[in-house]
Amino acid sequence: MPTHHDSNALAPEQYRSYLRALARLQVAARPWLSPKLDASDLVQQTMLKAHAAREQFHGNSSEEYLGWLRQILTRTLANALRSLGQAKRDAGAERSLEADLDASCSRLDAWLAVDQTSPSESVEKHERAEILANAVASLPADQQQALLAKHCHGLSLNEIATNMHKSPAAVAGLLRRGLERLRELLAGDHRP
Amino acid sequence: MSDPDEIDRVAAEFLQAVERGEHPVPEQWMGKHPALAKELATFFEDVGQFGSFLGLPAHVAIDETVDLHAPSGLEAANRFGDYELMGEIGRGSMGVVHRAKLKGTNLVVALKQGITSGSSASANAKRFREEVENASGLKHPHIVPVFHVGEHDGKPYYTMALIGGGSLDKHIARFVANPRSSAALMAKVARAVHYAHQRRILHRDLKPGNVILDETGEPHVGDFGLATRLDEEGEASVGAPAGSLPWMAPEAIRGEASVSTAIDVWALGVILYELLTASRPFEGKDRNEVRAAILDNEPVPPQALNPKVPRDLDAICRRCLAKDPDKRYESASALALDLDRWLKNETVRARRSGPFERLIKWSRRNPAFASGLGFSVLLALAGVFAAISMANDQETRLRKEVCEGNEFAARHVASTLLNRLGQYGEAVEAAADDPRLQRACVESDWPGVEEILKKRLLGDRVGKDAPPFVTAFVLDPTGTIRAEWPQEGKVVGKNFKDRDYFKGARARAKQTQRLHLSRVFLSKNDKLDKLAVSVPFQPAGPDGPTWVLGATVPTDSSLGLGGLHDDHRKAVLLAPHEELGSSEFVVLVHPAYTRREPTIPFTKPLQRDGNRILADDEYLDPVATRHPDYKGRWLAGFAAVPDTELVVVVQQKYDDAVAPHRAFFRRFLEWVAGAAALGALLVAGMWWLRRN
Repeated sequence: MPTHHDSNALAPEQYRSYLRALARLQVAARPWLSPKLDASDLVQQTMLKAHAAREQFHGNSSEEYLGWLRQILTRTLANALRSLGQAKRDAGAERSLEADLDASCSRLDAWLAVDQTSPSESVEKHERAEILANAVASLPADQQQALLAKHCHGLSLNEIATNMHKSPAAVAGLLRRGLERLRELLAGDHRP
Repeated sequence: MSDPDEIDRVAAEFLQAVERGEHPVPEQWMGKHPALAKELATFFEDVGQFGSFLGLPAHVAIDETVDLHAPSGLEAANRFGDYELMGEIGRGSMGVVHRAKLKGTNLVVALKQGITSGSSASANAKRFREEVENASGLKHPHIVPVFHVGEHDGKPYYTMALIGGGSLDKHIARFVANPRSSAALMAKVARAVHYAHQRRILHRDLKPGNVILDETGEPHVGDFGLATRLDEEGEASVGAPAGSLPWMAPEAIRGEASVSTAIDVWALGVILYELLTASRPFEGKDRNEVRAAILDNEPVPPQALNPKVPRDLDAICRRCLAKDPDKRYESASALALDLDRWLKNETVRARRSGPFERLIKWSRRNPAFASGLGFSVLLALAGVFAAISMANDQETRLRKEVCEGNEFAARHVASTLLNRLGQYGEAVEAAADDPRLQRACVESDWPGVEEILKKRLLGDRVGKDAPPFVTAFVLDPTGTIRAEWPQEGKVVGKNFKDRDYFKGARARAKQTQRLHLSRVFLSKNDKLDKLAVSVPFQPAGPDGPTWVLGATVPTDSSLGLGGLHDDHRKAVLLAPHEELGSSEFVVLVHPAYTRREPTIPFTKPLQRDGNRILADDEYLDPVATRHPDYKGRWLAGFAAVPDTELVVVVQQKYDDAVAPHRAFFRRFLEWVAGAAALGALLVAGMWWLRRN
């Protein structure tokens, strides 16, 4: 009884918006890449790879399936970075990317769990993630950078301040205004 | 007014405290900085909402404590009359849909609120009321049911069933692999749409997003927000074009004043297309391109995009997408019926299939009938083949039997003939041995010789069994005829030393069997072919010269063969002719011959082995050139007459010989054909009964 071949439960299409959210956050976290990399393209490549390699997935649950898709996305992203000459040619690049993605993923899930009043509706939840990612991507660059330094890399306020050559208070200001804007954006448009 | 940087400094301190693992209490912070309380409240609220996204510890988010500027609070906002709102599910054309729980119960429903703000508020309110009216009247298993209609704080709302499987657009991928499930689903959706049409409601906004699947995969048509009332003629007057562009029919896009149910049929076709191919029939970079594609382009046939799509389903889909509304299905129900037909392997209206294809479909629908019919046909065919092969075997056997019978009869005729010729010979021998004849020959008393010939062979003694001689004559040792009776006068004194009756008889002079049956020769007297029986004799004693006495038999004599003819079998006598080669024959006696008729050569070569004749048993009668009755195939048996060169043929018409057998075979075929026709009629009858 190969439940993992149930096309309904494990169709990659269901995770498209969620993966797009992850990809968009990763691309946004590397602002120098934004003009060169398109999150939708990355996800499309991921989907195609997942489809081509669907026989290699041996898990059962949708969590495992999403994890598998995330691995493919990580590799796709690492390849893209490498081809742009932005990543060192060592295995560490992929590992750090994977860590970033893992962190991003778990924080996104935590947010969704608190924010969403209907967590069982996975499709809706995923769309919600994409809305958030889009909102983040539309923030002014410095607010975005400060937010993503926390979200993706889990840096402390002081570390971000050092990286951005700003005072901790200035960074806190970016975060504060960024969150405020985010709330406005999300309240203003609930639509996908 | 507080220092704009001050709030950021406090925020930084707060965040650093959180990062150090402390548990700062927001109220305390607001208490410490009363001037910044308002900004801080907002900040804490945002941190509460997005803290988890930033990876901050969850316990920071204690939004219930932030109660300074939003007295109604989250809970109050969630309260909506008797319902508790549990989150927005989505936005329809005319309002927001929430998940809502009826207070004090576990009943969770979808609650739709009209949008009552903005410039078009009153128009929206009117539309919303219409929607409620339209949707609440529809009770169909595949239409989202409306539970309750109400108003709260001046805002109209209604509740409907919360259907949990998500809308169809999220599930398209899984239908692409399975055209049957697409067809089955669309048949249900089309029926639901038809049900609404029957109640004069035109949906106008059918799309995968408005078809909700429940947990078991059953579709439910929802969002009647754009629905319009149909008039008596089944048309609806509409204002501006409305709907979702990719699913809008050409006439709706053109903004025609009135539209009909055909626009819903079109939209159903677009949805079916999406399910079959995972792509939309009309696409473009922007709205203008999509609009142009809908108005002018023929969609790529679904089959070209997904080879799994059968031709009939492809045709059904494209029929819905006919630019001319009159060329589409006349109703959603007609579409549902055609989809059902396809699901049942029947011929669909959208495409006429060929007779072979229809036979295949029919067989798939009626496997029992089809296999029964197929079996009967096979059985009938096998029967016919067996009958034909048996018939051939039997014909061969029958033919052999007939030929053997004929040969046997021919041998019998040959021995009868030999017996008869022996009798003739005896008479001729007796005449030759008559001392008076011998004396008359020695004395050259020719009238005396003729007198004896007449008496012994042709005269008064001729009775019933007497030989049918026409002339008798005596040849002297040089071969000259010295006497003849009846006296024709033309041959006496002429020399016939080269005739077979002379040479053959003289060759037997020293043998005990002296009788010689001559070859056929052309008589100088009457120019007819004749046969002679001749005997050598020596009137001057055993050492004297050898004379010959002969008697001729005419060809029209039956030689006793006449009694052997019946309706089927004919006996024929072949004899060698003097003027022909040794193995060539003429037909000497034949039932077709009339009196004094010239003989006909027998063209078939015959080989003799003792008294057996080796010849093909099937032949064409040479007499047929003169007597058409004898045309056609014959089966013949041959026998040689011993001690002579004569051959007897007994022949039987091929058709007569195998006729009884043919008749049997024809009757058998008639029976088989009759049984097959009866079987076909029976199957057709049962099929008709079932169909009706």
